[in-house]
Amino acid sequence: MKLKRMFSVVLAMSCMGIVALVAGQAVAADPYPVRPIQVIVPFPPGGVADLVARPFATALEKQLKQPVVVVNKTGAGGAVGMQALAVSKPDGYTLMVALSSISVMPEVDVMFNRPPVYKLNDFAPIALLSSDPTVLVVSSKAPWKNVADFVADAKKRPGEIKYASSGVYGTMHVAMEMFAHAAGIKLRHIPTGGGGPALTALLGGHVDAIAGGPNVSIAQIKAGNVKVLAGWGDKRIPALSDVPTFMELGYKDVEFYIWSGFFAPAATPEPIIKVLREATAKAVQAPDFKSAMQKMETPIAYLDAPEFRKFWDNDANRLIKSVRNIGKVE
Amino acid sequence: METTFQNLVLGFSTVFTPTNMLYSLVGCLIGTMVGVLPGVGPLAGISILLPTTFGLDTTSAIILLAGIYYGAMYGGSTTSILMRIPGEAASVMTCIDGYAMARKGRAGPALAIAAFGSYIAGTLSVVGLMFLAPPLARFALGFGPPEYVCLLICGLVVLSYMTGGSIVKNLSMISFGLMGGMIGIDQMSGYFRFSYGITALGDGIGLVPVAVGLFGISEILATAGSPDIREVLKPRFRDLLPSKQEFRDSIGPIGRGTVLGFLIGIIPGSAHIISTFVSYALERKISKHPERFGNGAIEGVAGPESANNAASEGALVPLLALGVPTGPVPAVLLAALMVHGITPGPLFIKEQPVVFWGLIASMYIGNLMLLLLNLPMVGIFVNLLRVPYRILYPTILLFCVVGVYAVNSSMVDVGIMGVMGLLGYLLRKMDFETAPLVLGVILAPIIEFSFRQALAMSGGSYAIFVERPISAFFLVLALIMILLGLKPLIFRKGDWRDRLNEAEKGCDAP
Amino acid sequence: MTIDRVSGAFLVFVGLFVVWERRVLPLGSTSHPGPGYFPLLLAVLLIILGAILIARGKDAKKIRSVSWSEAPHAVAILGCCLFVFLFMEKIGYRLTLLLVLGFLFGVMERIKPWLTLVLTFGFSLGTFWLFDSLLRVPLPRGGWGF
Repeated sequence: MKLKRMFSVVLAMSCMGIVALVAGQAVAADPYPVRPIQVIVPFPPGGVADLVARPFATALEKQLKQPVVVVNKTGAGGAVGMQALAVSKPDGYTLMVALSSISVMPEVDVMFNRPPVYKLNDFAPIALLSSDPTVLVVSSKAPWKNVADFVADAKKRPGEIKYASSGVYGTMHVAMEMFAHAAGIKLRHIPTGGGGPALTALLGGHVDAIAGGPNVSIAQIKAGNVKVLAGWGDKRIPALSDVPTFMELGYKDVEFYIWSGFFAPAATPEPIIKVLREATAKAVQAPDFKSAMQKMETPIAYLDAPEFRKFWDNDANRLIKSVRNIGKVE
Repeated sequence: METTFQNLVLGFSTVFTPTNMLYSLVGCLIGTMVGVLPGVGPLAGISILLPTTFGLDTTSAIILLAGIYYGAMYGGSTTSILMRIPGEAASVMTCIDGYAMARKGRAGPALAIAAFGSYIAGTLSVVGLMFLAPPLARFALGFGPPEYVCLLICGLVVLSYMTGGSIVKNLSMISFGLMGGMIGIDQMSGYFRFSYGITALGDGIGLVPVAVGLFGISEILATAGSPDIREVLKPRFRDLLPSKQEFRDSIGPIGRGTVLGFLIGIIPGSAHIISTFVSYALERKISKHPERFGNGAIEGVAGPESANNAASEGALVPLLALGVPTGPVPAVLLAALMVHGITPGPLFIKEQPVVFWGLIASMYIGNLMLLLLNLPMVGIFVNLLRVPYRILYPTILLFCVVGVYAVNSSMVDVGIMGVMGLLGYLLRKMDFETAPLVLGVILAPIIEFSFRQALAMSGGSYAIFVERPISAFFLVLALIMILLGLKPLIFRKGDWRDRLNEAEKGCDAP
Repeated sequence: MTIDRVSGAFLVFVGLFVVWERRVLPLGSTSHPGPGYFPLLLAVLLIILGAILIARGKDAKKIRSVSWSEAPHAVAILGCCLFVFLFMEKIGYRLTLLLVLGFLFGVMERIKPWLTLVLTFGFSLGTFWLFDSLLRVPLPRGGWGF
């Protein structure tokens, strides 16, 4: 009796299941998009990528007329989410907003003799969304008035000046090492769990400097807790107009941006990418998106796919060189 | 004092508008729901609602999001007590004695005391927040890696009193947990440890799958097929409220839990689940009947529940006073503020009094609302227990799976939950306590990372731990506690723990 | 064979496993501990504790006396978890849950067929709607987009 019962239950379930399946199946092919779209953000909520992705997703939704949902898939400094995109179906329904650290991961894997979690050409760039240069932030009580003082002090006591980063091979680490290499100085690196803890360490006096994002630093500057010595951009930051850039000070090739970009899997068909590119171009013009970004003091730095690809290649080369210089940290 | 009073009036006038009261209520409701759902915690709830708050006025947005945050602490105790599933990672400790009370038919009082304790802790913490925010925040900033290490060493000594049973078994559970916590990327060097190519393990095995699996799934595995008839009588109204004795017993733990939770919460980077562990251990240590813990001691519910509410509000102190987030949830609140054009920093309180004092006032109101929401629901929840378990447990399983999956959209998390469930089941058969394992998983990354950070800061010298005043203080404190703990061994023949072990061995059910 | 001896042996095994696996991680030195340092310390600790358990384990409960009466049920539930883990992303949330809940309610718990159907469909479709559509937390859709 038990067997007969089991059989009838399974049969009933299967029939029901098939009916439901057929009923729920999406109508064939075009036009794109017909279903909700997922945008993977490989970083935890509240971080730069997340803060840019959410207003962007809302603006994109209005353009594509389908729900655009942000999914945080965090882990391993972003590798989990990035890998998820690399292996997802290239049908245009899974996309990603990621940061500049995307260029660094495969190189780190190679250095550690691991099979890379993804390759850079697994991704098709759609557009650049924002680009913030990092800035050198030190405590307002520090004795250095400018970069020259800092470098001179570092040369006098190599390996003594401490700086915090958001994690080993993370954005704050690579940026600072880029500068240290160009200036020929040796600094002591204290990794922390993220941008927030790194800033906390600086404010608490546990480290002497960080290479941080400008928007958070501005609030602390106004409160008089920190000062900014230089920026890693190619232009001065509007809100910090009296802060020189490293390039101005003669350190060529010391450029570092925390940028956020919109990606799709590389094999996504061209017509779908075209739709996404056009939708993005309109979305970044939307007043809601503009005001959200303005309130966060993150300038929109929109570049369409071809220009973004050039920008990305350049940036990736710089970052990879810097990572190779850092080598293995023990 | 004058200005504080005036500011408070300003805050209350902001909150008492119909819109803001509505947002506060909605936030608290959502927070409770999010807390009740296993695995999904305030972080997920806040992130989901973050986009919808973009269009709102800043004060309303923050009131809503903060309501979710401390509301989740109220809701988390509900599933912990009723089903031994931590609704929210910080509610793990409540599972132990809360569930035991539910098995004895005292689910109502447990839920009620949890609500009361949470209310008192929440309200007192807001008072602390109000008056002490800036100086406390400054103090908290002084906690760097060396201070952490010594604080956690202190905590570990206290925690060794956490559960009964054999010391060796407890230690091995903590060590096992510590080991588990080391899976993943080593943040100091970038090496992947024990992750065998599964990228998703790169961040470690995560607290939520471990807590839900070890406590919730193992409970289902152990009881689903068991022939015990679960006694569920229709509760009389009297049974829903705590007895006078229970009230009296709870006052102390609530008070101590509040202070402990608040202090631990303000330290940046401390997970506030640690406050629940310490509160439980403390209550057990100073209780005159430690053997009651684990079998339905109301102190084991009152203390941890107050601690985690106080800690969640304490965590807001550095955020509001200095603009420094203490953990992932305050970081999202920070993001919410930034999206509205406010960058919290040291001048936040001065420059944005409407937002700050509106938030403070809303926290008073919110805590009250949550108390009024949760108390009547106690009756409803207890009646939920009367659903036949055969129907209940697959439903619980469903919610666990969804909850754990929803946290990170990760199937691997669900897998980990399953593995931890099996492990928890086996451990119970072998007479091991599972709570220390969770503790180990949380503490491992913090202790090891802070230790190596501290050594990096000092260039390899161990002297840094005694050179800095705060860390030296904690180190001395830990030493004193160890000596005190060893005293009975030296001066008396065996202490209560040995007597406890004898008693437990005698009562072992086959 | 007591439970203490068995669990002690397990701990020793885990400790040894960690010691073996940790070979690839550099140890560093006492003043600059590397990634392998703490795992090694913990592994040694586990081995010691496991050894203590084995040595003192004579007086513990016998392993035969441990009751496994609910084990078949537990195995079925674990089987469902495994099924969910392996298949949920391939065939989608709703289908997986239809199958799993149907199995648990209908087969394991022998609940009347009509109630099983109601509960199964209600919960799998209902929770999907609640999370995916209402709360915007995406749940897996299978290969067919269902």
